[in-house]
Amino acid sequence: MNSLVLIPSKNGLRYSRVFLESGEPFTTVSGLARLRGTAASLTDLELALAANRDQAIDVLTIRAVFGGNDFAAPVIVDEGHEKKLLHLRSQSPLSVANTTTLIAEAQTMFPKVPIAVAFETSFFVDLPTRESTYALPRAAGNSVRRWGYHGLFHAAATQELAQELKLGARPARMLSICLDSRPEMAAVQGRVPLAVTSGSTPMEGLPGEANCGEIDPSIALALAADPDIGPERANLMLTRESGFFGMLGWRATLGEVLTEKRARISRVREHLLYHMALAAGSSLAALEMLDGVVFSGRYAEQSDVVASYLMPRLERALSLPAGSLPWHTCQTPLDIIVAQAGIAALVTKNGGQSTAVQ
Amino acid sequence: MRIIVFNCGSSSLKYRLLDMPSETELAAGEAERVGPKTALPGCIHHSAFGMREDHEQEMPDHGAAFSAVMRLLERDPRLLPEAIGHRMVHGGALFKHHVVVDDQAFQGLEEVQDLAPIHNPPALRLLAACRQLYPKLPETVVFDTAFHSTISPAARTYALPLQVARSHGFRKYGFHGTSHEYVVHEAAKYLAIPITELRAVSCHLGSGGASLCAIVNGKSVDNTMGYSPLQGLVMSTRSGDLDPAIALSLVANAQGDSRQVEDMLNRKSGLLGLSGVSADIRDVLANQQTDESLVRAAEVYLWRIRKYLGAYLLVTERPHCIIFTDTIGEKIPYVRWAVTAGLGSLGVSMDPLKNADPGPLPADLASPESRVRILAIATNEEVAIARASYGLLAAPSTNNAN
Repeated sequence: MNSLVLIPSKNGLRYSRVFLESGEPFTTVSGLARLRGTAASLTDLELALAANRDQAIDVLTIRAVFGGNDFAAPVIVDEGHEKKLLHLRSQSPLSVANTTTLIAEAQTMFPKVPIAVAFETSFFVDLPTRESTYALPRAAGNSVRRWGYHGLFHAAATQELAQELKLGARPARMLSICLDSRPEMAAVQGRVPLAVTSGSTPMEGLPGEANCGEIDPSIALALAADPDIGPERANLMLTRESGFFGMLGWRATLGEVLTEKRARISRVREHLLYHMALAAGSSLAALEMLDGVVFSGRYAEQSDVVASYLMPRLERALSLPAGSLPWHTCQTPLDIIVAQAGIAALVTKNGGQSTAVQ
Repeated sequence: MRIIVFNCGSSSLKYRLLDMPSETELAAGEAERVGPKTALPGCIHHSAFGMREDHEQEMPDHGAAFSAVMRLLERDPRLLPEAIGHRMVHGGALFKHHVVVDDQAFQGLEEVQDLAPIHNPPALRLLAACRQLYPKLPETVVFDTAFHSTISPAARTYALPLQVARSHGFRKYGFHGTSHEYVVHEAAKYLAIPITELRAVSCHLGSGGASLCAIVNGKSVDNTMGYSPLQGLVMSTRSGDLDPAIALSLVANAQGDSRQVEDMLNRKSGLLGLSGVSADIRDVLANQQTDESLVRAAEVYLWRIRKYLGAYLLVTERPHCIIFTDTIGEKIPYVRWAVTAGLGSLGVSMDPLKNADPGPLPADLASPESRVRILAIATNEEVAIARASYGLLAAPSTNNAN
């Protein structure tokens, strides 16, 4: 079976055609469609796919960031889902608008292809209340909760690690570290997350390429109260001008921060690794023990840098011999993970049958 | 040397006269209802040499309260202070160490008073009154933030635009330093470990504010509070950690009124906000059967402590001990148990019987096999301030080394 995968990103729309046959998954067409407004945004994709018209698409899968409590798993979109998505707009306006727009455009372009949506937040729907709740007055607190925003990576990576650990019936206790532009750490028991670094939005948590990560809430208030800044500018600053960019003064990817030798980058790396150590300790307290650590994400190839910092500390804390705590790197790219989710949703909907559509 | 220590609240003035370095208490008390007139008159509860007395009188400001306290002490020549030690919550980046007050230091204190708008200004007004009324008495200022001046750049820096962080002074300062420093020294004594080698996690769990401190080689390397005392643990009325996007969204909902949100996050959130009925964890724990929201409030409160405890157990690298102190830390066994239960893999194992009945403090509540000792230690900020003040005045060559 195969899926056309659409992943909206800040630079445009990433697309790829993923085949999940027996053996290793593979991708035939992939690229980045420029965004030129809603109606024309899929033009590049259409051109790219023109050469592959002879290959049927089983399912088109859209990766969505936010699905709220209503979407605990990937779905094949129907009218009911679209209504639910519209209701979610107040919780995450930008993300939900992107998803609904893309669904509409995909339906126009591929009217006969089932459309699946895989949500990053699905993995965290059942995050325990003690972890997901902010200590706010009820009126303000009831509408917000903590989420994770790399659920697709965490789900795939922890599944891989659990298979490697071969613990039988006992659910593995795992630290899942997603090395992406907004890195995220989750404490996972079996398939259940117990703790996660991100917050109500991806702004909170570990510092990323442009987001501030965890800061004193008084700082956000001070910026909002500053007549030269104000709330909207503060939001932009903390989301797009902070993190590695803010600390360095130039844009650097997580991969560069983890590997470059320049002194200023080293300081940023030290900052990031220290906060990862704090998050790892919190995760240990949540899990009570640890069977292994798994890395995933766009920069998973640089996992050895993080592992060389974290693993000895974890082993010392757990009184384990050096080198004895297993760690694993999940190399599966996001488009394949998304395709797997979409195909799984299709198979579930069809009770194991699927119909490819030209 | 007789040192009188003042701990200035917004409408109160606690004091303690100690003979140093023996740390013998000579007199102590508290002036209540300092400030504008209230339904009840102001009152000083004073004790000296085991004798207690109450004195009702108007105290329109902290200067008046100070004068009244000094008049009580001056009745007995054995109680005449030879130096004054003040507690100041926030020294900012300007004061990395405690200081002996001179004109230059006083000017610096005026510059940092807005960093802690509730606590610093009354302490500064008291200091000004002392200097005016008793100009010959040496005075020291002991900062809660000074103990945290050893926090590393990696821990104290926020990932903000450099220019903005510099211009606004955004960095982690850490708080409750006076208490953390005191209990850490007491723990080193109790465990017979040189303070320069002690690694610990200090849990200052007050009935109002609370913070955890990571200690390596006797020094603070991290604190859960940050730029302000709002960050970190869930407290009685403070939210603790919060997604900054939520804070900004609340400001937008309040039509841009940041002060209204600041008031909500500092005075209406935390346990009070979650439970809707009480800001005190003791009430919340005692009445859980009556209301589901109280169960949730307790879970969120305890979970946040537990997560930070795990974080600091990791970064202190096999600490010697966990220290519980202040009202909740010293007196509520369930809180100590809930935040350490199940942490055997991290070397933490509590003896439930000792925890339930620790006896006189300090006490070790860990089971014999626990690698990490679990100590309950009564904090004593006044003694800590007197120690720091005596240290400054007895070794004047190091004074004002900011």
